Amino acid sequence: MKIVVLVKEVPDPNALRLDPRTGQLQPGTPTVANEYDLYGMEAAVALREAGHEAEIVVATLGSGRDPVNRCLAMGADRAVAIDDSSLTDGDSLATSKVLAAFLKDEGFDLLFLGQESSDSATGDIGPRLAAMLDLPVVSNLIGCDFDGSKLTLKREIEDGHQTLEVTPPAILCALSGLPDPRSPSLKGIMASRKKQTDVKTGSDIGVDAAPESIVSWGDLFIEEQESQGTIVESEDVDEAVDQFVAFLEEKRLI
Amino acid sequence: MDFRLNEEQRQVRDMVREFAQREVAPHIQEWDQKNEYHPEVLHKMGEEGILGIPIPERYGGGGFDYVSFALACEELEAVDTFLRVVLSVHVGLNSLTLHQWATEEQKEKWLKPQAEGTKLSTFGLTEPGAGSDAGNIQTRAVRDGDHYILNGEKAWISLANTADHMLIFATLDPEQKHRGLAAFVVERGMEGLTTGSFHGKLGVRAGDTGWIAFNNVRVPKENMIGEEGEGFKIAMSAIDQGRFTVAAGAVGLIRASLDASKQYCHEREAFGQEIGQFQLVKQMLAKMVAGLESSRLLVMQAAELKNTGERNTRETSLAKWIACDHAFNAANDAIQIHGAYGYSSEYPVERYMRNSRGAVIYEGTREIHQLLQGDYALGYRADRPLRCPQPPAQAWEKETASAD
Repeated sequence: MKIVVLVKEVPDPNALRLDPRTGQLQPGTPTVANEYDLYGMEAAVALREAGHEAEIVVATLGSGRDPVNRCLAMGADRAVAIDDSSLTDGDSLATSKVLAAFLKDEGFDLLFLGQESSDSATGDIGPRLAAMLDLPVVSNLIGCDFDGSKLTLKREIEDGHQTLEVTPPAILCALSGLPDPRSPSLKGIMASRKKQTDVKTGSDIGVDAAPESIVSWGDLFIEEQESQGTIVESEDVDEAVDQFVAFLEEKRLI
Repeated sequence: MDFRLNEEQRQVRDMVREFAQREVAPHIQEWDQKNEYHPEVLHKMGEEGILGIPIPERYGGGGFDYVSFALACEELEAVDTFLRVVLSVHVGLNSLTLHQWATEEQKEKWLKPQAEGTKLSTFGLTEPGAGSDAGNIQTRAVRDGDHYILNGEKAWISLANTADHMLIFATLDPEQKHRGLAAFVVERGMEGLTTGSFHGKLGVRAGDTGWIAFNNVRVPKENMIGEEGEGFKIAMSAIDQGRFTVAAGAVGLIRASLDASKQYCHEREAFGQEIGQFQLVKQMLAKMVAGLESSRLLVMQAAELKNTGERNTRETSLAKWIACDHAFNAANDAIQIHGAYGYSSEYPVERYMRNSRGAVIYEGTREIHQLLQGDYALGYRADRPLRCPQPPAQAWEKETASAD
């Protein structure tokens, strides 16, 4: 079985520094691997550790190598970096077209990617790839088992969970309900030094011109949020308690 | 100059942080209070590869650079000093010294299992009557055919009761002072070797500190590291590495004091406001931040020199002195910020202060480091080339070889 994991380099959500004058992130803002993508990577490694023979290929679109290096240290066998500056600024449609071209070329039985990225958070790359490649997609993935022929998948839905059975090939969009991504072991980090990262350009994957984007981004800003409290004002104690319980129930706190 | 960590360095830091948080942080208050030593933690460190971080892969280590090694020390001491002490003696003072001075056969025999974490090691220089005055040690080594016979006692030895291999310094001729020293690998189980524990320490109560006694211990001549009379230079090389680990660990202790203080400043209110709002409290935090960042920069300066194999005795000494002083001051101020609670074992800051105190004494007292820095500044001291210079980190080995 061949598993491809897509991983995106994103600004570190815990260290965002916005320049309010330019509406852009400040230069030098640290970057990390998109967290949901790492949940997908962990799920891929876990499948192999469960005894299923698999080659795991991690792929990224962009110039950053840290996310793929991290995945190599987690257990991926090799990496592909589609490093072509003409292809990295597109919207999710354009990005999906580039990734679909690469994936057609690479081939896979299972594709893991995060449900969404922490920067643009469109959440539509997985479904778009599924449409372009004519494959099933399972989003909001929080559980993944494989019996050698079919996958039993658990996904989060409103008000509960849904269990599905899918036969590969398939596209799986990971959420943080999956087991936490492992920190690479020192042995894993050492092994990653010897693993191969292939660098590809658009022409290598049959994309000679940047696909057109239909969405453009404006400046970034931080939304002002005012804290709002709720005061139960009834002077009748029983009524106040009822109101309070109703409030807690509405918020699903009890 | 690039102050950012690379991905590999971040991965090592995160792995060691997670290990210390998982294996030790939930238990350390109890272990420290009960003076409990848990050697199984050291064996887990070995299994995880932490005991061989800067040793090249061909000798069983991880081949990581000195920045990664410093980060590992920082993460361990941010949880407790006893963890960092393991890296100081096993890796800094012993393994890296073997890497620098031992023959290939000796490295195969002792360094490799140490880097792989299957054997633990320590370093024995200090004696009941000789600490800073290392040239005055009294443990005797007398040649007898193919052996040396050792007699004497070592004191304040970390992992004294745990280590399989001990790098021991003894004098061949007390008259010659530091020129008469030699270094030997002594193995646990050799006849006449006994070890014991010290009790009643102010800090590092979860660690193994003790003594080693030699009563006519016959050590094969193949166990001598370097040459007769080279022992003092070997000891000073070892200390260049040990001090580095102590400095890097002190950065972790400052960080722990700062983190605990920040949290308490936001939690505790006095006179109707968070205590962090008071200017004199802010001043203590500001000093901790200054101590943390200046110490870390000095450690990383030494790390960069070590990576390329450049002599770093002055820079390492400076980092050790400054970082350890800041660590003690930070922990002391952390107690002040916590008020009466800081004086109790309910909060970790009193442990930080007790742990930080020893490092102002060991691996060169504060006063020794000040004398060294004064001598360097005045030109009274210069480092001469060594027969076996400190090897660069693995990633710089080819670069250095081609430069030669």
